[in-house]
Amino acid sequence: MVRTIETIVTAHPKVRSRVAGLTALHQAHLATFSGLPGNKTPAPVPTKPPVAHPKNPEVAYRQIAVAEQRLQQSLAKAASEARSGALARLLAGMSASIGQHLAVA
Amino acid sequence: MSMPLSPTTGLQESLAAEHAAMYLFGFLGARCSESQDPDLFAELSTSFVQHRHSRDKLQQLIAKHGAEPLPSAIAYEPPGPVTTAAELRRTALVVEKRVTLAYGQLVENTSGADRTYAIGSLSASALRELAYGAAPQVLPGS
Repeated sequence: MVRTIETIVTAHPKVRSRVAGLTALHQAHLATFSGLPGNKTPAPVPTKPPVAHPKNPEVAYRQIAVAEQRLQQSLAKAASEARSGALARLLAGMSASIGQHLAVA
Repeated sequence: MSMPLSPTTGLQESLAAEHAAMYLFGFLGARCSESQDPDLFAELSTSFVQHRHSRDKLQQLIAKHGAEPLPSAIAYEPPGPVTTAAELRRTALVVEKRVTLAYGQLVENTSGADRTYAIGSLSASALRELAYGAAPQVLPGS
């Protein structure tokens, strides 16, 4: 997801400040996972990369928002299926956090 | 990580949080001037309705487990001052954060349909926090 955002904001620097919170969030989530006991980083949740770079910054932002919503849903699904309750809570919190960040972006 | 709870106990604890939230959002709404602070009044009213719906849903889930849903207390002490609009907002945020935390705990201690409900409720509560001035967090409900 961080890579997806970076690709889009490189083409649209004006979008960068709007999604700075989301970028920081994903980095914080990655750091949380790397700090888990056993340091086993889970397989990345697949996100569809943008098909093409739109010229309009607003459309570019919408691409990021749609990808974030997909990730939010994937995390909620992963939380519902997790065998560990603690992992489920972590994944559900990550999902809810994306919802919060999207609401203020 | 918190102490493990049975799913029914987790549901009862979430219900207790929702009982308190419903009472307190009603209380806060009654302290808010609709004419002077229409936005805050609308947010408090919406929260009250949503918490009432969540309370009803949790009572149904607990009954499905064959347990008796815990009753509400007679009254709840507001967890902060409630005189000015800013105070009402801050106190509402404290109440909402308690609910978010209860749902985080419920996610951890349930599975299946109960957990799916808890995940959705955690997300909804985390969003409501924003209306009362919370900044987005890295892991709401933890």
